[in-house]
Amino acid sequence: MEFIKSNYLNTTTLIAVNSNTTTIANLFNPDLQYQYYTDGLNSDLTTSAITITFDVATQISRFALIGINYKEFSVFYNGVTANTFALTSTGSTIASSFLNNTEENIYFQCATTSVNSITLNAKKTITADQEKVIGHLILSDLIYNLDLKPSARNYKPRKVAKQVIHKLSDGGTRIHNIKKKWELNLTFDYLSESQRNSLEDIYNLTTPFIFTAFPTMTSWDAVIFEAVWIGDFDFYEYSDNAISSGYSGKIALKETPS
Amino acid sequence: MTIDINSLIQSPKTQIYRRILIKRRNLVTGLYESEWQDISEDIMSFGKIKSQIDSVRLYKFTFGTVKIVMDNTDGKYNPETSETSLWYGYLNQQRTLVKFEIGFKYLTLTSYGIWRHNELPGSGIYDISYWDDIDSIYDGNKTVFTGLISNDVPLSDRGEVSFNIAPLTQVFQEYPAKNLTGWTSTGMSASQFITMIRDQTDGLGSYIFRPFFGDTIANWDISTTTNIYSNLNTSTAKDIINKTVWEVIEKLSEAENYIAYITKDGKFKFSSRDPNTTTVAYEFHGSGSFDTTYGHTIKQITSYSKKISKYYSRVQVKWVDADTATSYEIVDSSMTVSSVSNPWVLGSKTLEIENFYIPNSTVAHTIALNIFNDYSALKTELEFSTSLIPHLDLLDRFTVYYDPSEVSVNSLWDQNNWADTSGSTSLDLTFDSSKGDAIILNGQEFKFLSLEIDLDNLENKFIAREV
Repeated sequence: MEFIKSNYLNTTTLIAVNSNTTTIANLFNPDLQYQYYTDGLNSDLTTSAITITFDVATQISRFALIGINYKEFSVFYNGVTANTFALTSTGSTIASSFLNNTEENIYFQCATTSVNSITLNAKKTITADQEKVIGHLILSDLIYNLDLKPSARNYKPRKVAKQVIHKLSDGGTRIHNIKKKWELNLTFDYLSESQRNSLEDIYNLTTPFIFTAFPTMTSWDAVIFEAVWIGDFDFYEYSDNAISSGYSGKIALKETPS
Repeated sequence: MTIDINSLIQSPKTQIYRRILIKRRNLVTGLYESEWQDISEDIMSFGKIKSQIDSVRLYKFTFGTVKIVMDNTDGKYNPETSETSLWYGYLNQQRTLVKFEIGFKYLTLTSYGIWRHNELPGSGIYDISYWDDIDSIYDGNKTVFTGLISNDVPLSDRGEVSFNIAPLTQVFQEYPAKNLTGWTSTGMSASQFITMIRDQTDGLGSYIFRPFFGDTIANWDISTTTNIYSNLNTSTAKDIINKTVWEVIEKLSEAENYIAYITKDGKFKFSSRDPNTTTVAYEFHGSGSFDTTYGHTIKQITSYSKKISKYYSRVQVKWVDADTATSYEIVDSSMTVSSVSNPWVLGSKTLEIENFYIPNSTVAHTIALNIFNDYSALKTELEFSTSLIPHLDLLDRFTVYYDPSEVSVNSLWDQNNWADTSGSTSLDLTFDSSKGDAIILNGQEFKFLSLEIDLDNLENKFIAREV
């Protein structure tokens, strides 16, 4: 379970692409139905190149590709193809270069690397010869990894719809949907004092953060969103009738506006 | 299947988009920036948009002020002196142009797995079923209101700020008519006066009113009129000196039996009060009606009545200030004691109009006659609410189908009792069937007098008058 910083990719001025500039803002739009896609690169012999150039050297230790159709692709930094990231997450490779990817969503954990730019080159697609598509690109750095998995009973993610429900004159119902946003409730018991303090640091943040519960490179559920922690911080409650038992509490997260 | 605005309106589950965009003014030139800035992500409440013609009283055009509430926790909506403000480096927040957009969104997935986002109205989709018929409403513009930030903008410690968005008529209401230039000594027609407003400059070549209307004459729809108003001849004329530009426009509208209003997409319109289309532009269906083109949209009919308060058997137009017999033109129904004489059946009511802009008795008589023709018959007005219908405008013509009753009741009229006994048969003993109860509408035509869109609850409220 990871809390990472808000997406460093948050403005189009950071982005350079070799195809279809009009859709580059979709790279950091969390709505996966707004995609960056190439225009005219529907051949496995052509490469889609997306380069993110930061104003200053930036620490990167987490990045995520969501909603991709890439089969052969690589992620490297500072404009040198050999500068692939040394991945620390369990996965199919130890470098951020793939020849036969089949995953649509990948969450990368790597050693913290100071970068001035990051390039995402995509050549082949999972179904051959299609335009290269990506729904969301997250570039970030770890805030805190709570190395615990919640029980199913204590993990409650929901997509909450903002909608208007009309009752028409014949009793029928019509729904106008406006947006869906993630809401997530987590409950933990027996946390250590160190874990409690780290969570409180996150609770005290004045800026939003990104949360994902099960960060993996394969079969990732892609439940990841920029969030704020609402309500009280209650991890000062003891889990049992002994101080040494640790702490219990709830985490309530709600997605930020986009 | 073709997806058009009507299919989305009647769809049981749709995606909605709502946007508010602003244009600020340059700190040096004072002119509006060229691009709209989207502030939708900070909106806490969108408010209601309301436009009315004649619904309160004749010749009263009312365009409501919209109140929006913005999240100001990071100071984006502070005054222009604050470095966190969106207006920092621009002119004051007052008179910032604000545009509201609302409509339906639908997605299509291409064979490459790429989502296409389409918006209606206003996605620019060419739909021949609409575009080849000049009387039909086509997919149209997504803008539903254009206005100006006006009035106080109080900040509070709640982290939110509300703006009052006045309609564009505000610029006419604020400007004294005596400050206009370009008068003709022999007077001018109403359309010439409106054109003079359109072309009004500050004396240095900069237009005064055009910037609020897209800075183009294409957004001024002025129907030509011919009556010459001799008092529109100088800035110090009696009927000019103490009036605002909007007051003069309203008086001229009355004298011409015209309407002056701002369309949803921010165009100034001075034209006749005929419905926008000669054929029906839309159909509303409610309980007891089934239609596959427009679907069921009526939520509730809140009022349905013969509008006795807008019935007049006599129209009196006073067009000369002096109180003499020749100062009046009167058109009225003759009263006889009969079932077909409205003054006898409904009583006599007089509509008094006083307008000294009217140039002669012939024009005064024409005005009186036009109004008489509209209001001497007892007509129905209808107030109802619907699910979101974003693309309709004032004076659009439409029909309504509504029958809330589930039962088929029997008529009290029975052939057996009322017919000639020599022609009666056993069948005459069966009561004639009839449908419905209090309100039965089966395709009656109306035109809108009042439109309200509740942008928070995605609901329309209409007031309409029988055509």
